[in-house]
Amino acid sequence: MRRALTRGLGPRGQAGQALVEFALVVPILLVFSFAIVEIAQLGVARLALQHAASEGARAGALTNDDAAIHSSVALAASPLDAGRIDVEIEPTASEAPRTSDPRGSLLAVRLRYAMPLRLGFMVLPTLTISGSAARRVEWTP
Amino acid sequence: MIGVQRPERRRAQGGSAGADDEQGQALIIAVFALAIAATAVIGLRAAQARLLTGAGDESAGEAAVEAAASVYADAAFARHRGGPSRDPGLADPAVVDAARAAAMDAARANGRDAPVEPHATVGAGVIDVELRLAGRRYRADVPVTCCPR
Repeated sequence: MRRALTRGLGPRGQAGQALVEFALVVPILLVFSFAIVEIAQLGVARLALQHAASEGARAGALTNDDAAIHSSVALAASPLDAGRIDVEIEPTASEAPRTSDPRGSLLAVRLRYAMPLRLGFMVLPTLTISGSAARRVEWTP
Repeated sequence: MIGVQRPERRRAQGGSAGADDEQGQALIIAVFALAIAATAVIGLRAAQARLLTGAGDESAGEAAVEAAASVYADAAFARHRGGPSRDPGLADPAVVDAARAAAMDAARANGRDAPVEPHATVGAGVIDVELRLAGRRYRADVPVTCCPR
């Protein structure tokens, strides 16, 4: 068919053939370009989340205050959207030893982030990544 | 755009076997693009794995050295509370063991289950705690009112 087009239409047919080839290749190139960008952003997000978890755990170790932990996480998680970060603190503020004298115990902060994907329409709408850190509590009542 | 720059075009216009030469160009371009993309993806993932491992090591090392320093600070404070003393009690085996255990617990809680050996020295108004984890050195200074030099 390509030969027939080429013979029949000459240079104009070849231009059409090039256009078809280009149209075939461009989607593949675009998908891979987006995939590379997504993977790079995924790495940035994971690093940011790990950093935010460390900062949150450090704030919790110094203050034993959930609000301070959330605030530290939100500040340190840039460039991520802090509103999409799910913060889990262990032990919770209502559990021992945080209710009495937690100094010397470990406080863990676990973060989950639902990362929206540009290629989400193809496979997954979001990808959940996580980060965690723990610190020895230095706070005394 | 791709077709415009192909040198085979002239031969094809001349009526020779140009059309056959052009077959597969899109395939070659696609294969090149896939190879470049695969290389980029593999490289990115490897770099990310290294960075994330480094970040995890750093978090564990900081947690471990802070935990050890906290134990040494508690010991120095307890010694100081018992009466003025120039010795903060850093060489006490019980304190050393407690600092080591605290450091290992903190490192383990951060996903690094490796032996750590914190060392504490007394400087001018500070207790200097140092340890190595995953080939990196971590330090923490605790200011104290005892132990002037």
